[in-house]
Amino acid sequence: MPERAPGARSDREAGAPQAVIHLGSNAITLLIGEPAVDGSLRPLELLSLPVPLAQEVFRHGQVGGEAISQAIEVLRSHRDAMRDYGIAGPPVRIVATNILLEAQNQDLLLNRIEVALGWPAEMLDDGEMTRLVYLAARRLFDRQKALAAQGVLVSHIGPGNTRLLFFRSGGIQDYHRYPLGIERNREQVEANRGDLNVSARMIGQTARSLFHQMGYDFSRDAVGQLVALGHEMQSLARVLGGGRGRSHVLPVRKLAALSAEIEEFGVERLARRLQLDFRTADVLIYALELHLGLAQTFQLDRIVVPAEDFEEALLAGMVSPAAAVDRFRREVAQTALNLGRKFKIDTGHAQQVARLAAALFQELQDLHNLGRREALILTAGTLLHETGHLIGSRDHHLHSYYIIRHNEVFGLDQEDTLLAALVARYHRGPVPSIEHPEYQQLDRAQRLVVSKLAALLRVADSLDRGRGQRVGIRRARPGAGRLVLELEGVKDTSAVQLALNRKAGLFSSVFGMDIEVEAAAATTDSPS
Amino acid sequence: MPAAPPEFLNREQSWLEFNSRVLAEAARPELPLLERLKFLAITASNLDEFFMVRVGGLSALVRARQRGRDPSGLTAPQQLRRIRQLVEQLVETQSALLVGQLLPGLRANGMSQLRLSELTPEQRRHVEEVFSETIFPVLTPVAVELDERARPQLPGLRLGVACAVAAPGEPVRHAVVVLPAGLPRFLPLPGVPDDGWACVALEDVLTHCLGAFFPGEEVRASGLFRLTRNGDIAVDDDEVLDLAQEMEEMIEARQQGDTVRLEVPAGLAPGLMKFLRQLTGAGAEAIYTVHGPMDPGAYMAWTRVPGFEHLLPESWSPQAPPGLDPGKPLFDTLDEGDVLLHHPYESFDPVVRFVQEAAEDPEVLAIKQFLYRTGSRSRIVAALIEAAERGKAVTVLVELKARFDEERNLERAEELRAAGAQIIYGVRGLKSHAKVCLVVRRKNGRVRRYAHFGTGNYNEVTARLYTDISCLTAREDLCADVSAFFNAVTARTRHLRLQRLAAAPLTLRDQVTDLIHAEASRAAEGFPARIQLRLNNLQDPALIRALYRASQAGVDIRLNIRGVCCLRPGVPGLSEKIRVVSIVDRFLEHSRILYFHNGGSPRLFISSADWMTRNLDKRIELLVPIDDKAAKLRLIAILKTTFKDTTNAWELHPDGTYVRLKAGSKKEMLRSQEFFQKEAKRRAPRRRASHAEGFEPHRPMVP
Repeated sequence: MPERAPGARSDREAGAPQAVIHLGSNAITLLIGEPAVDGSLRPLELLSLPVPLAQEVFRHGQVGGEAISQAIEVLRSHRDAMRDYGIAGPPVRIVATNILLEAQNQDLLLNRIEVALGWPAEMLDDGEMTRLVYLAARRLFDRQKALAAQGVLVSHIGPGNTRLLFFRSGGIQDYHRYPLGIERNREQVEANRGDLNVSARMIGQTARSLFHQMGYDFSRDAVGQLVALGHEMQSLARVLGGGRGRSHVLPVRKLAALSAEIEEFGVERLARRLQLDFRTADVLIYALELHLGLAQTFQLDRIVVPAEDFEEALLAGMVSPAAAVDRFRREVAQTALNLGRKFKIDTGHAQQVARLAAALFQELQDLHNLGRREALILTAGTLLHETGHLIGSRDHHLHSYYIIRHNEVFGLDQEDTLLAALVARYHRGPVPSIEHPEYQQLDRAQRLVVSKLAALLRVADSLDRGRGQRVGIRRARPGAGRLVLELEGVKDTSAVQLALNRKAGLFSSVFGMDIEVEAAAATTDSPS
Repeated sequence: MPAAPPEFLNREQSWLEFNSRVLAEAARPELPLLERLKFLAITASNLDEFFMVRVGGLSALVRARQRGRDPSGLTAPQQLRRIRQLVEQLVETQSALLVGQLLPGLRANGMSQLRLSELTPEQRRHVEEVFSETIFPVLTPVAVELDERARPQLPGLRLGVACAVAAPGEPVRHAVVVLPAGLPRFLPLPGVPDDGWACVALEDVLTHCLGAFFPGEEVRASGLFRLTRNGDIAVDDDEVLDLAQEMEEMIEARQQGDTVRLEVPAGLAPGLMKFLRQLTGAGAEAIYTVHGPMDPGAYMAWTRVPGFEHLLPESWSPQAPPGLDPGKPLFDTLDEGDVLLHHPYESFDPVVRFVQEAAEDPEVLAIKQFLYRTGSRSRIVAALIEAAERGKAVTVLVELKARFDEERNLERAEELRAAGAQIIYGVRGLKSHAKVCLVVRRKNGRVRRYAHFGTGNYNEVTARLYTDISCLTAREDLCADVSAFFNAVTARTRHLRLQRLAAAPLTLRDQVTDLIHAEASRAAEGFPARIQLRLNNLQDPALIRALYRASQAGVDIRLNIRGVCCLRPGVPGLSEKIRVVSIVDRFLEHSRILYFHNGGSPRLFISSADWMTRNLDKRIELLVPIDDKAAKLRLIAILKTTFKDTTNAWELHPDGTYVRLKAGSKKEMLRSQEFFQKEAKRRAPRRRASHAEGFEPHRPMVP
């Protein structure tokens, strides 16, 4: 009987090497690592092979057959590498860049992968991409505490979008996303250039209005440092930055000189001199000019580039431990609250309602069967549910919907933002109805999420009807046709019950339960 | 005022100088006779390769009317003229030594090559029997009509007999008989005393029996010849879709390339000479007249004749290195620290064991290996095959372009592939010369990687003959780099980001340049600065210039360059701080060790790369930092000892000539290879402690 191959294990052993794959804009990257004690991955291999996905999407509006075949070949090569580490099954995650969302045939690539390799690939959504960029920044601040103390603008200029995250004292304060990307910009410039050579000036001009927008969006933030994340700048920093420290500091003057050099001598020479792969070299001038534009917008004379490999950080983030995710959720809540402040909300009430909603969400897990993503939507929707007051108290729930819908909520993708906006919209007034166009456009599953979350928000909101921020939920006891909430911080629950009766209709219709409240019995210390 | 000599020494002349140093060993009366014969045979085989590659290349330049000059300022025709002059001297010395000293000396000691006229009737009968039963059936005379367009393509590096034959009343016609590769050159004779050995040369037998091939005709004249063809036919990687197939074609093409040398014996009949020139297309510049036996490389077989070990030097067998418990898995030993081996004084077995244990260890997941020149019955290849058969992920990068070893490498590649290994046929445009092996293994549920770095090939035969360094390590940073290196060369990733290793053609040149510059800067600031290098060849103009600049800045530079050295040392204002020595001894000096003083915290490296432009720009090579303190001290001691050699070391003078170093006194005499052998023996673990022998104090060996 032939001996069993050492790597051929049916189940994934704890601590055994894991793989995660990212189908990025220009390359498909494999990270093989071993789970460390804290749940993070200790990298063993980082393998990256070029496949021009973003170029295909931006140039042709779809991923061509040749690129798909190339992607399959690369994934097969990655599969061989995984076998070297005894990984016989599929990667823990195989995630495709959200640039593919802009391709007409977005499902084709993922289907082909599933057919060819049996690997279920998923699309990276905007929210997760933001989270990954955030985690990469977080790792930098964890290592460079001094950097975290200042007002730092972290930028990630990706193939299609730019994310800017403003951190102060190590915590995120502000976040915006812009449709400005290296590949997107390149296609725009090349489409407009005619017979002219691409010049650095053309690149900057194409992005000028967005740079103005960025300046305006972050005008209240004291930006003292610019940290650039991304493969292109990192490739550059490795050569220009010198040293092997935690980060490279690149003077803007030096980068401008390099840009001029590329313009004069072309990318071939650059690729040779800097030992860059041609694909990276090809887009480097776009990455350079966009970062220079960013530095100029915020009047900074240097750009910090982390030494840690961004692609590695990105992939490690995809399988990041729960602790990192929880921290991220706190940061999402914090930025949502900061957004709310801009609209003059009662932050005390917003935070109290968010606490109550979170407690309900947790207590009623078996009832609603929703996950972490929906919890985050509830938190954002709850914290921002009264933003509409700035426009007017009457129909403020409708204004809140509009405001949330048209603002970037850090950590939420477009769909999540829409759902959070609808949750806020239904915190009062008419219950969700198929006659409301914004509700109508959702699919059934989404509608159910909105209804469930709005029901929870209405209950939580009614519990702080007097805005005293005293009430807490100790326990929720679901029973036949009714739910009993044991409340802390209140002796006479009649006023609360009254408020609740007015707002719990949605809850009753969604979950089929009426809500009763009672004061929780005083607790005694348990014997040791 | 005479013109300043060129900045660089001529590469070809430097190589011929090296071959002369090897031949000088054959002339040393104090060495055993068969050892001297071995050196002489080596110089002959070396010369064959030199003609195929270097003379072949220069001839091609001449044909292409390339007018460029080499770094020493010579054009290709000038170089060929100089080569001819030096080769004629060398061949003359070879012949004189062989005929005048070695063969008579061996005869006096019972080993004789007899002429047919010297044979007894019994021996003559034996020879005739062997001829008719063994030789005659495998030889095919080829009649040659020179006016025909399709002339026979004679194979290179084989002895042949050209003859003129004629039937009565018929015109003379010509034919050639070429000795096939499978026949032994010397036929042992019966009827010699028990303590003796005698033989006749195959060509003598063939010449004597030539008439048998031409019944009814008369052999009017006959003469030996030997062809050398241009072996430097470049493979155009970019256009090669199937490299394996291309290599097979190239092997064939090499056998049919242009004639770069036609060796003939003195006194060859003019008619036959004319015939051979026409047949081979050899110009006057390619004809070399040999006054002694042709192809003296074949005399290497004499050194393996049993019963004459007393004519060989005392055997230096490889010793077991200390610290490697045969009963303990090698991987456990490496978990505790690095292992540095100095071959061939220390056995190559631990390296073989490394791959064998990896093949057998159920915890091993993957083995990755570069194979450049393997032995024909390589235990390493056998272990790799076993590992693949056991289901481990085995990746082998087989270099098909290892000059003259393609046939062997192709066979091994096929065996490995059949066993399930992934075979990579080198890297397009680059020759894969790195010597590295990586093992990926699980230990306590975690992945642990182990690597072997070498300066020599994974060839168990040459590992007994060449001096090399091996480093076995489990250092995570080095192993991660090796893994990244394999991934890059096997095209699994587009990036190669190395933290500790440097690889040619990407970063190795820059790193050594930086290291030289750093020493130069220290010297310029008045700090002690020193570079010591031990390489096989030093030819790259840019690195030589960097060394010149370092010398001018005041860096003390000592180079131990076994073969080609184009650096001109000891020239005031240019290289006065540089001293170059070369050691030629029983083992071929092959280890590449680099020392940079680094302000008193020396940085040491071992490397697969010579400092030749081809190695730095056209080959995949590695430069490996050695961090282990004991290993560093050992490498420093090795360098120190080789620079103290006063018996087998030659010093390069500014004019490009080499002069053998001599000890000032007997006390100062040091033969480095003998020292290392003794040291290895002393370090070797004793099989059984014997108290009866008393206690032996542990004394450091100080050269």
